[in-house]
Amino acid sequence: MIKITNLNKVFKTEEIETTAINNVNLHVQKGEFVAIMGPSGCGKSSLLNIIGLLDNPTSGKYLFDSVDVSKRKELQRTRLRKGQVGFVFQSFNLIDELSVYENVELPLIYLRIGASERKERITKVLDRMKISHRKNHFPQQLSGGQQQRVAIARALVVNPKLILADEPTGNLDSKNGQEVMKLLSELNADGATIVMVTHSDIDASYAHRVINLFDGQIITEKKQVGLVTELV
Amino acid sequence: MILLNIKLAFRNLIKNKFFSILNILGLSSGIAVSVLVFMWVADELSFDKQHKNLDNIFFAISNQTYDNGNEVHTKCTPFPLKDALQKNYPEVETVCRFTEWGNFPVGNGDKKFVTDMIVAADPEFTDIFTLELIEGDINCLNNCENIIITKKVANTFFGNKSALGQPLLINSIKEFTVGAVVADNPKNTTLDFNIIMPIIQLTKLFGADFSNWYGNWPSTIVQTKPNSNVTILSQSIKNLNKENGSENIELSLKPLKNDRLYTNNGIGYRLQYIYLFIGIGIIILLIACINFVNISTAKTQKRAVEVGIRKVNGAEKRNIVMQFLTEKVVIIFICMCVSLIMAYSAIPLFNQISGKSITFTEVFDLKFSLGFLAIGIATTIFASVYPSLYMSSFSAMRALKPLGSLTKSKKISFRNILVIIQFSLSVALIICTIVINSQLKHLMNTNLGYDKENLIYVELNGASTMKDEVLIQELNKLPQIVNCTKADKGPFLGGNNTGGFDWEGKDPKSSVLISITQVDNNYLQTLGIKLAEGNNFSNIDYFKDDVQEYEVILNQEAIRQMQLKDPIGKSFGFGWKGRIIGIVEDYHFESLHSKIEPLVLIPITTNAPILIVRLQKGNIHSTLEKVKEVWQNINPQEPLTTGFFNDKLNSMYTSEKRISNLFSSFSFIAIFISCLGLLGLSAFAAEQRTKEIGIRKVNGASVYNILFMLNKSFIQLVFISIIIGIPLAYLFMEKWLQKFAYKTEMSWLMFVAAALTALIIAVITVSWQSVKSAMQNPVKSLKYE
Repeated sequence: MIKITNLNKVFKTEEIETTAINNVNLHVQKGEFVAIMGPSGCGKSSLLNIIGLLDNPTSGKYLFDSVDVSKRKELQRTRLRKGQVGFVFQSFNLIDELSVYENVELPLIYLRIGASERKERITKVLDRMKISHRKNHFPQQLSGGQQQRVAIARALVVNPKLILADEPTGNLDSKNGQEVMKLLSELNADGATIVMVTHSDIDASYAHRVINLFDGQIITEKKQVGLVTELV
Repeated sequence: MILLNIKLAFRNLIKNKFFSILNILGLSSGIAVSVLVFMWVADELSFDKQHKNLDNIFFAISNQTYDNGNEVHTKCTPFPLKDALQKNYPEVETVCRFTEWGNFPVGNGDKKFVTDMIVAADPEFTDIFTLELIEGDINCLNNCENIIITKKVANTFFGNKSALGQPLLINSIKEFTVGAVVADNPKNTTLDFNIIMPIIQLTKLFGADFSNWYGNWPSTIVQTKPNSNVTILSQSIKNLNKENGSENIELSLKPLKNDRLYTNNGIGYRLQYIYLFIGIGIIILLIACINFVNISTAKTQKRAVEVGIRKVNGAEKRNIVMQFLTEKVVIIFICMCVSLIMAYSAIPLFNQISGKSITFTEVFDLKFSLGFLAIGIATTIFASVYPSLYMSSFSAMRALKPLGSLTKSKKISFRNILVIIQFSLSVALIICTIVINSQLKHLMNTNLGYDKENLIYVELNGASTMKDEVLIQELNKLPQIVNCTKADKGPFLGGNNTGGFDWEGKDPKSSVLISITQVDNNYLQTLGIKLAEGNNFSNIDYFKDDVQEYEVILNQEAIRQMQLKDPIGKSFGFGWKGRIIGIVEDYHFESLHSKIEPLVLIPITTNAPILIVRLQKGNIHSTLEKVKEVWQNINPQEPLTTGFFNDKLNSMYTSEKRISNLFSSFSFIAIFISCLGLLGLSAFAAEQRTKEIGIRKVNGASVYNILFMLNKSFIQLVFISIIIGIPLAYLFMEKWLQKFAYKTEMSWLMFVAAALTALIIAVITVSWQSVKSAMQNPVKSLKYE
């Protein structure tokens, strides 16, 4: 699903040059659940941005579903991303002015899916996320856990090949956090490929594989089977 | 998608009420001003459109040159010009002569009213101009006893009854028969009239010589055949006057459609005002659009995350542009509706300021709708394209970054440049307002060379000399009357530059243009005009005594131009014989747009059209009542037409007064809109820097420090605007003042006053928001972040 070879990302400003990702190699199989861990500023988010086709690497190769996407322009990346990648964020990133229904509808509109199919899909996904009863509410009327469920529903509604989660439980209490992680696990069990950035060991424990980043480099990679961790 | 965008636009409007109100109020005011300016311009350009032959109608212009370099361009032409044009030029379809006769009492039996705009014209007048016939024969002027009257006149005298065949006695000297009634003239017409009498009557009543090529009296109006080459025709008639003895006169043709916008020598003064107002309309709209852009882009911080989320969820750049364009168009649409209401409500005030009588229903036609749409499109382009493109440029990664991490550039941002443009224009408008007001004050307060206070004029309406004398005697009996004098015109009607004078010791080549005013021997005393040399008129009665020689008084400018030494006692004539008995100090007998020209005062020998009366100070209005009583006793049938000198003099500066009022209003609106924008920007800046303010306060910053920090950047912008606005206004005002012979000085104080006004208003505006932020508890702001 994801094949990254010798990937580098360097940010340049007028005064300084920062290497965010340094010669990273990473393969993620279809249906896999990978957690990326590491201290703040180690390049986790930069890597997630590149994986999610939001940004281009400075150098190196990135094959997404066997397509080389390393040097694509923004419009091409957007078109590749549409319907293929779903995002879940720490801060939920729901649009305050749109209702739950409309927030979930957003990616379907950009995919130009017809109104009746949109309705069908949204109803289904909201039911699955157990949030249908709040579909006409606005984000600020929901609890954090409910907001994150809406965000996941929005990510899922397009049936993406890949779900990217950026610290999905970071803004939630432990109970809601656990619920969200269970949900992601279920999605993965249903066949979704998930790449998750997290600081939490508990959250990471849900993944098949945990990658540790430090100063833009992968320093360790651990495979997990159930609760047994195997050092690769 | 569009529906969702519209829904979102409304939700955003409601959510950000404060900024929505600022945005809508600012932009609506800007559009409303543009609508009013558009209406004003449309009204200015609508003159004479009722004439079917408009494109083929021309005035003959007499361009006169004199030896001292003076030029006169007038529509007054010789009577025989009509026949010459009609007979010899195949391009000419028809020609007519037209002249205003004046305002006179018109009577039918017991009914008698002073009627203005009584004109004389050839029968061809009705062929050339499009008049809407109500009753009678439109060609009735072929009978020299007939007149054409307007519906208004017909209603005044005959009510609902037919006016046809009814007699009307004009100026107590000639009775005419109504031959036709036509609809009242539209208000936007160059050739206005209430009564048209046959021009041939001028020979019968006043002995006008229709074969004389030397006198210039009526306007000659030419209708050319369709598709004629008017340039060639104008060139070929150029020397007609010369060929008939007037060496210094050349003829040209001026299109009727240009008559209002251009002077007779082709200078587009009126057109300049149209451009000026269009310019001001655009400036105000621009200022309003800048507000809109600034407030829209200031929301960047908040909306950037939304753009990021949308992009992450598959939105392409065009989707984002579309979304923001829809939002802006919704707001602009609301603004346009609000602006229509504002413009509608402001029409009475606007009419009062601009001297127009525009009504909304009158202008609300297809052209207006298209113009309004054009304003809407221009506003959309100005105000929404840039913010939409700007917002769409944010990368999807913005969604992944925490709020408030937008980098702040130290360079002057585009938004700052817009604020500078906005305030530069506002400062320039304030300066223009101050200078125009100062010039107006200067015009009103300039010493005219006579005492204009407590003076009234009384129009004598051609009453007999006997009655005039009785009136003067009766008025002089009133203790409230200081003095009375008869004249052929007041010193507010301008001069009548005439050449052909002769005097003792004159250089044969010299040809000085001198204005003539006929007065009696009380004129100097009544007006308070000072004699510089010689004596006042003696008590000769020119109506009774057999006088061989006129007494003549010249002004100092005349003596200067005539280069006359020891003028007293020298002969001076103009067809008649005269002798210079006195020299008066120069006084203004024209508006202060022009310098004092040469003037000759001669004794009045005909029925005086005007009586000038000096009243005692105080109780002016009760004195005026007494004057009315005296008039009624002597002329019970005649209505009294009177007024104050000051009002007449002020009316010479009506156009300046209107411009002054309009500039004051426009600069108020400009500064108001600019401040709305500044208020919005300062609110956003304070919001954006909430965390910084909190940290600074925790670290010991005082309220004053925070206030200074927040206000500094805005005040810097206003300073830059002042530096740009001052030279801009100076150059513009210097050009405007050039048309006045007597102008105010543009002192540095005016610029300081304008700069301080802008600065104080800006500081108050910005501080309103800054104080609130500076006073906030830092714990709150840090927690918020």
